[in-house]
Amino acid sequence: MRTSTSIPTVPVPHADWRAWAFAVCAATIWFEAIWRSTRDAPASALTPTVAAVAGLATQLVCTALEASLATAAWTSLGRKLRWSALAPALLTASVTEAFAVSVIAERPYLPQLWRVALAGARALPEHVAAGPLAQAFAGFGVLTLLRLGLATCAHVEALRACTGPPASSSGRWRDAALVVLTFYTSSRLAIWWGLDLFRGRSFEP
Amino acid sequence: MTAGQRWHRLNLLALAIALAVLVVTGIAWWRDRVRTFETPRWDAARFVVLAPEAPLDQRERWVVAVSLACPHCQAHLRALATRTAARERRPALTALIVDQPQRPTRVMLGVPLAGGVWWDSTQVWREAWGRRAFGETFRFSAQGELLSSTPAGVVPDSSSIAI
Repeated sequence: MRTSTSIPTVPVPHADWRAWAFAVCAATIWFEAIWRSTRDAPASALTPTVAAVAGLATQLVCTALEASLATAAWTSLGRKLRWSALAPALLTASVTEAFAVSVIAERPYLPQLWRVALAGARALPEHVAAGPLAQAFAGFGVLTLLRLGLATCAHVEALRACTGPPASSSGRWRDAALVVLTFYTSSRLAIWWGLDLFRGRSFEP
Repeated sequence: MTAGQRWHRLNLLALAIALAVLVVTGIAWWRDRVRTFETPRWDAARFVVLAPEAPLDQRERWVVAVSLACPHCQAHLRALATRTAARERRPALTALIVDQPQRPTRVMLGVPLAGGVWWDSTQVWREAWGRRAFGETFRFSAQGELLSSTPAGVVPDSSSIAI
């Protein structure tokens, strides 16, 4: 017979409200970036406000899911992270992607080399004809690297406050980087495979 | 069970589902990639004619995979007709109606098609050729050999030119 045990409570750090304040700022930046990119798009079926609301809602859901999956992954590794410690920090880290959206949208103001370096190959107009694998990694640029770095920091911070076996600082960084990279690679693989299945052999010689 | 425990279980369930989805997608992708498909070749006998073609001489045939539920690929067909109208030697633009289980009673594509309108009644496009993107345009030689295939929004013989 399985007995129910209560999860040890973790004291809420005073910095929590700051994490949520940053997350609110990040959400505002996301709204602004999507609103502006839709406004400047040559042909869009949605009004800027509708697109921004839908885009922000999607981003919030994705971040919440990412935090849930990460919390579960850490639980399976023997560390009990709080979702509420991770989710706002991950949303704040995602703001680099909002900048990437702005970089792509504001074509006339930045040289192409800068746009590709910052936002990845998706900044090139011809990337739409690229293959599924290239499409899956089309967003890889300096801003993605920055996001991965910030996400790793978010995990390390959450690990500091977690319950479970103590780990050294370098061990926390290594584990956090591994989890972040695993999540990133898995999501790219899913996009690659999904796009490939969606296309079949279309456009192949 | 406390709310915290329920939340942890929910997270673990989400992780398990995500992992399962990833594995299933990977298996489906692998099975699809090892499957062999035919190289497309224009063979009129495999399709049902809905609107007859004009005499083609030695012109190329450009076949657009059209789903009747896809306004985007129909717009691409019309745009191609406009783009090629001024050419001295125009390709024979052809519509291949795909993913249509019942024979269409009336097909209004809004553009004259020298190559005719054909119905892919036996799913050659999807099942034999392994194609899935509507609006894909095939360039066939006069002998029916595939020269190229390009996505909607692109002029097939100048793939760098977007419509």
